[in-house]
Parts: sequence; C-alpha cells; structure tokens
Amino acid sequence: MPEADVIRLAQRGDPSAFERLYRMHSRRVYSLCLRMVGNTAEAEDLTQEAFLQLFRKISSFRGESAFSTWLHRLSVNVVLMKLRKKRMPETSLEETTEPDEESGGPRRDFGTPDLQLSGSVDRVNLQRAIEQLPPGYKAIFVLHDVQGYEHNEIADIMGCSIGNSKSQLHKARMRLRELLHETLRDQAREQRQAVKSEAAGEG
Amino acid sequence: MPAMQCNEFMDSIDLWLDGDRQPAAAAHLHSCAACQSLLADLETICSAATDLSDVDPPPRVWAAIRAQLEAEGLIARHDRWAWLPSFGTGWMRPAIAGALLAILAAGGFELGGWWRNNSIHNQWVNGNQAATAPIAADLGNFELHAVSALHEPNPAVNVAFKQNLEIVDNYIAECEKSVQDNPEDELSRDYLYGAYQQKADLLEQMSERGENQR
Repeated sequence: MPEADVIRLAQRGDPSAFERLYRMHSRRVYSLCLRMVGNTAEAEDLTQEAFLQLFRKISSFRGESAFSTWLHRLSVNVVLMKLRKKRMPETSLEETTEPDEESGGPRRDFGTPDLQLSGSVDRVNLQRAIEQLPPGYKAIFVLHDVQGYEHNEIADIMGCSIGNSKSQLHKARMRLRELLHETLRDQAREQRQAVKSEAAGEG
Repeated sequence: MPAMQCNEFMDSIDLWLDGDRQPAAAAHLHSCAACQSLLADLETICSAATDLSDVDPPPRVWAAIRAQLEAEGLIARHDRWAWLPSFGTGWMRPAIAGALLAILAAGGFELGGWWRNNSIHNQWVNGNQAATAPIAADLGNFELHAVSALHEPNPAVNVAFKQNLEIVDNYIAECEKSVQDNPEDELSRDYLYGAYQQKADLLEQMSERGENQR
C-alpha cells in the first residue's frame, strides 16, 4: 500500500496504519536518536516521544512536505529539546562562523594534530566524539554523514538555510577531528605510561 | 593566477569531499602536507560515519507507543488474543488453534473481559505466574517448531533471529516482573501482552522464512 494511503488511514485512526507507519520509519528515527544521544534507553524514550507526537498531530499533516521530512523534523526537535534540557552547550543554527565559540579554545585547524586518524577511528571512538558535539552540529553531522541526507533535505528538517547546513557540517567535522585527535593523544599517553610502568616493574 | 592558500583550501574542502575537485585545490593539495593530513582525516571521519549503520528499536518501543495511544484514545484497544490464531503458517496452524482452545478452556478465559476473570486476577495479585504460564508454555513449543523449521542458509540471519528472540525473551521477563510487582496496573499487563505478541510475530517470521527456504 502506498505511504499516502497509509497516512490517510492513520488520520482516520486505523490502528494498523499507525503500526505500519511505525514499522516504515522507526529504524531511521531510532538510529537518529541513538546517534545523537549515544544511549539506548534515552534513544528508546525519544523514539517513543517522537512517534507519539507524530500520531497526535497526524491529522494536521497536509502533505506539503514529504512525510519522512516532517517526521524527522519532529524527531530532531524532540532530541534537541532533550539535549538542551540536559544543559549541554547550546548552538544556534544561525550562528556566525567564528570558530572559538564551539571549541571554547584557540582555533587549531592546521598543524596541531600530530597523529593520523586513518586506521585509528573505530565506531566507538567516533560515537563518543559525536556525543561531545554541541546539539546543532551533532544533528547536522548525523543527518548528513551518518544518515546520508542532502543539504536541501537537512535545511527542510532543521528549518535553516542550505548554506547554514553546509557551514554547520564543516564545523562539526572539524570539531570531530579535534576530538578524535584528543582521544588518540590520550590513548598514546596511556600506552606510554603502561610501558613505563611495565619497565619499572621489571627493573 | 595566485596559488591557493591553506585557508582557501579549507574553505573548499567540503566541495572536495563531495567530489567537486578544482584544479587549484588539487595543485595546493599536491604541495601541502598539512592539507593532505586534514583531508585524510576528514575522509576517515566521513567513512567511519557511514559505518554507523541504522539499527532497529527493540520491540518494547512499539508496545509502549501503542499502549499510550490506546490510553489516549487515539486508537481502539486491541484484542489481546487476536494475534494467536493468525500465528504460524500452514503446517503449524492446527497445533496453534488447538493450543489456543486449550488455553481458553483451562484458564476459563473470556475474550474481551479477560481481566474481569476473578481467578486470573487473583493469581496476579497473589504474585504467581499461573495466569500466563499456558501462553508462555505454548509459545515455548512454537519456538521449538520455528527454530527447527528455520532452514536459513545465511548464518547472519540465523544469528539475528536468535538475538531477537533473546531480546524478546528478556523483555517478556521484565514485563512479567513488572506485572507481578503491580498486578493492578493495566498498562503493565498491556506491555506484557505486547511482549508476547512481539514474540509470536517473531516466531511467525521465522516459520515463514523456514517455509520459504524449503
């Protein structure tokens, strides 16, 4: 059955249509939540909240935008609200391109990283780094680089301009690079200390 | 034309990552180790990001949503038993129908008014599992059939089915504990029936898959 028909049935309160819509979109929504909060229990709660809001408002859906875009906009808003309640650093989507306000430190785009990320970044490291991004950066990075949305779709979902989506993605990637280099440096330091401790133990 | 500088390359690096590779940027990259390193890092990040594949939410999420929608009156309360007769395929149906009749007869269940049955209600209040033991036992038998009928050549699919069964079983255990702790709580009971339904759905998928692989 085409999605438009399922939506119409859901708008009339058909329980199986609700479930069908959930089955069609829950994987994407849950993954978005999971990547943004990095915690399965919270991701489940947020997925539940997003779908409840969706079903409560479904009668107002008029099809001006794609249903998936509407649902993702709603989901992103649910997650951002949650993250902001947790008092994580806030990021305006329309902020300027000043680099320091995100990292809170000096700009370190060139030269500073001393290790190559290639071959050293696994899913766990990346997920941890994503969790440390400010909410606005996180949402755009997850939507674009993890879930594969185009900038025009992200602009619809996030309610920002395409240029702003591009700029936020650039800054998110640069901040992730810094965070991952910090992780690598920490790991290298720990390894050196472990070697020293081992040598001291042998001596 | 002056050569591109590092800051200009950085401004255009996202275009480069998107495949828009200008000759000036290529020339700069060729001669600049710092920008080569930056580009390699960003390519690593983008590649790792695509490895963060989508995952399905656990069955309890839909059970919780449905329970809330029912509580808010957005959808009608589902018939808790509607799923049982449809469970299974072909060869399994007579066994399931028989099992369902046996459950209904043994427990004195009353469709649509199940929780008004005092003896069942008292069983919950007394904190024992007799109320759902027949369902659990029959689902256990169906599970044996579904697992043995699964002739799945792809080991990853087998592993996924087993993992999902484990997840659903854990969920059922959680829900049973919740109902025992709060026997009067209708929502807890709905969750439990949702959990049983999830298991029935999963077993149905497994048996269908088994049928198709024959």
